[in-house]
Amino acid sequence: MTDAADAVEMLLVEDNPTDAELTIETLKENKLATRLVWVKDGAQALDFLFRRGNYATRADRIPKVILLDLRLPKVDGLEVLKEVKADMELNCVPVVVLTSSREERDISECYKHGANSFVSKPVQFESFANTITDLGLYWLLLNKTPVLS
Amino acid sequence: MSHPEYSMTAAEQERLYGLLERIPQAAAVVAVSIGILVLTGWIFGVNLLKSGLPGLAAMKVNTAVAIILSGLALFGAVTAGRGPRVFSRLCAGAVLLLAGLTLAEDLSGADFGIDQWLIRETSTFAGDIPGRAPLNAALSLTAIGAALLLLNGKKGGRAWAVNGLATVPLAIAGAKLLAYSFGFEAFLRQELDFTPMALPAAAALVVLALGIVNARPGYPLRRLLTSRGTAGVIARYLLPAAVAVILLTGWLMVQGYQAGLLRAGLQPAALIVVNAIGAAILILWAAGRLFDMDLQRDRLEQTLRENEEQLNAVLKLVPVGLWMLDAKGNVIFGNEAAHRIWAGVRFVGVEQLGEYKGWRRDTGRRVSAHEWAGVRAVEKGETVVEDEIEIECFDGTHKIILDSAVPLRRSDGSIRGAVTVNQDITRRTQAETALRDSEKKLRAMTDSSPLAIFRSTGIEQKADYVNPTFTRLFGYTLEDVPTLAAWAQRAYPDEAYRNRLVEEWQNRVTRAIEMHTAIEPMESIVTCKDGTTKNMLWGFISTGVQDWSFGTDLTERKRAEEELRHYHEHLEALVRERTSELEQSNRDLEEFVYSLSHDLRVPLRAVDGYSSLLRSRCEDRLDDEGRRLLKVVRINTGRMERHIDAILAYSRMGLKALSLTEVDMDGLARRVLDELKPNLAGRSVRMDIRPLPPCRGDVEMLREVWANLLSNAIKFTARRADAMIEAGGRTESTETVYYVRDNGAGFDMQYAGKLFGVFQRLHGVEEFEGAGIGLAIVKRIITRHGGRVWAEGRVGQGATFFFSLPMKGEAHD
Repeated sequence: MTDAADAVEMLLVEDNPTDAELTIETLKENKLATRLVWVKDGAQALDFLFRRGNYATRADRIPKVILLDLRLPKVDGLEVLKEVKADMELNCVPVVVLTSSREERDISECYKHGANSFVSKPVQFESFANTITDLGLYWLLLNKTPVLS
Repeated sequence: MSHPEYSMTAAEQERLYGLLERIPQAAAVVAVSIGILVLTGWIFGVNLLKSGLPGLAAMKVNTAVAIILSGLALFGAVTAGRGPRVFSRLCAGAVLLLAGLTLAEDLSGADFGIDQWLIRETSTFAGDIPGRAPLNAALSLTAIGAALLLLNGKKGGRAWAVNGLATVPLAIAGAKLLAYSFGFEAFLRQELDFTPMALPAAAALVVLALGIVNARPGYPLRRLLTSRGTAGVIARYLLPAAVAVILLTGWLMVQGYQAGLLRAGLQPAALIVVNAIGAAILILWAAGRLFDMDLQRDRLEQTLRENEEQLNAVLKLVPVGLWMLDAKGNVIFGNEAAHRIWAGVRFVGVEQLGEYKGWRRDTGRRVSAHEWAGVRAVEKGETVVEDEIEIECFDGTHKIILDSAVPLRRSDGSIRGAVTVNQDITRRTQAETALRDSEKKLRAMTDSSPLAIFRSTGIEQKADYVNPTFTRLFGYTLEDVPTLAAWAQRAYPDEAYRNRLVEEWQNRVTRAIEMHTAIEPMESIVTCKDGTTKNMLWGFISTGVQDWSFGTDLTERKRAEEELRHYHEHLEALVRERTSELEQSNRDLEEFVYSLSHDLRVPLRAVDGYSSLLRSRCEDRLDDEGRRLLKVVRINTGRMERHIDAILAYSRMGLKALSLTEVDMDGLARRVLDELKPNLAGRSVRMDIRPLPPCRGDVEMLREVWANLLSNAIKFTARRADAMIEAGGRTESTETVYYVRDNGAGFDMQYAGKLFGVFQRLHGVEEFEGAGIGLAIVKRIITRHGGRVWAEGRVGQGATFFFSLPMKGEAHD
């Protein structure tokens, strides 16, 4: 992962290693996860985004998209979303909430705080793989984001 | 009475009666005296004693003897006792024998040789047989003898026979006496050849005859003389006056004739004229007296009639039944009220008195004919006062009467009848019975009343009744509280309180009088005989004479109210606690369900995902990679299982009811630790459990607390070679605080608030296995015990988890 640090296109915030692996494997199969950083909790995500802690020395590059799980150790997804969207520099980065939840409460909360997309993880792996592929294709290739200095 | 002198008063009558009663005895004495004088004259040859006056015929010896015997017989006849009577009878018999024999000699001319048996006589008079009494004397003496014999007969002799016999000597000897006194005895004897009778004999015979006609109280002469009516007046006044006038005029005529003052032819004429005038005067005088007496009697009758009318009016009006019975007990009168009471009156004799039906109220026995008050008065002379009798009237109804009677007596004391009085007391008795019944009912009610009842009477407020409830409640008997004041003293020993009550009570009485309402009930605290107190509510009723107090015991109610208020307050606290608990539980549940929906999908997806990968990638071979993937599947399956277990455990903690006991925390913690030792798997961990104070709680739940905290400590020290776990506790003012400390992974205090949430983890699953629910369970258990949980820690330097439990009695649930 460190070798790709300079060219991060996607930040995956996922505490569950299986979900993370399944996500990464799917993206790899479609050649979409070449520049991906995986962090296991909200605190690490924020450290990465705001270049703190273990990530204080990384290059000043921001990802094209953030795949954010909601239920995370230490700092949960919604908290991360709020801080990202509250930051003048980072609020342009699209945040895709990728979660097992289908709760209406979570959906509305996320959009209220500026989520760009809300996607439920299907339980069936085939659907899950398709969804991840679609997300990668759309947010990395199709979608345009402002160029940040 | 306007002319009392003509009639007699009762006293005068009594006196006259007494006088007449002495006549027989006096007569007997006189006759015996005359006889003895004559006999003396014969024995000593004194002629004057034999004849009374010189030159007259002498009384015969036998005549004198007969007169003495007659006198003795008369005296005996009027003397009480059996002896005198027998003596009298013997004397009378001797007289009759002697006189009868002499009479027989006189009539037949025979000589029985009795004439000279005592003393020899040589007669000097013509027609005189020596020693033999003449016919008139013999006849008179025979009559007297017979009369005296009859006088001694049973029932006092036959009145008319005795009196008739007595008139024989009275007429014969009386005439002889007149002849002697008029001085023509000798003339009569010479001219008419009349049987001579000696003057003493004539006098003695008249005296004896008078004695005999007065011998008994019921004899006609005596009755006439003592009579208070017309007959009495005539007998007492007219008879002696008439006799005296005739004798006087006769005597004057004879004397005048003998002195030659009257010629022979003139004598009868003068006699007629004088007698006629005298008779006329006497009769007019008597008539005048009788007229006065008639007037007097008329007035008396008038008065009597008026009295009777008044009496009748009274009898008619009086509300009591009045009855009259005659001497034989026959019912002869019943007034209107008597008719009313009995629904009729039957005029029957004692034998038919059974028609009147009655029963004595005291014994219940039927009243027999002889037991009725009136009959007892008549038959026994009893005065009966108010026999209470239940009667059956002639129309069949029943009544209750008071039966009284008093005998009516004649002047001689004999009973001539009775007056009976009947008083109808049915209504009174019914009223009395009703009153008694109602009193009995009232008594039964007050005796069994659950209220305490106190009754006082009169101005002194003397207590005359307390009911059993009163005594049971307070212990006081009537002897303990003889007056209202005594009751107040004992029931309210505190003077200030007593005075306040009395004042309050008086205010209420005044108010009740002003408002015309009942006295308002009043509460008080009564001190009982045993010193305990009772809360009472008193009601009052005054009947003017009696004052009643009714008390309800409020003690239990007050206590119950107090308890209820306490429960109420407690209940509110309980509800508050339950509500907050429920709210918490709901929040937890919500969170739980939310988590369930999220987290259970992850391992499931993993199972599915890796299986798919295995299928797609390693279908034709099962190399190391394939095996690894399969292993992952297995791991996730296990995880899912643990999640489910944890979820179930957590929900169990919220549902199970607390069962509080004294818990030996020291022993409990050590046992739990021993059970966890297999998990150490050869690790070297320094365990230090300080002595733990006991507490009160649910031992199963507290075991869970220790299990979670100690297994957490073991888990998070897994990566340290010098692992150390310490447990301890201390008692503070309101709670007991326990802790588990380790030198394991620790945590950032920044996230301390999240530690005890459901499914909260500060470490990734890869780092430390666990469902993230153990501390949530700990929190839930401790919260339910009324305690708190908190934690201190630093990343990499370990953590300390605290929990507190409230002191005894303060735990709820």
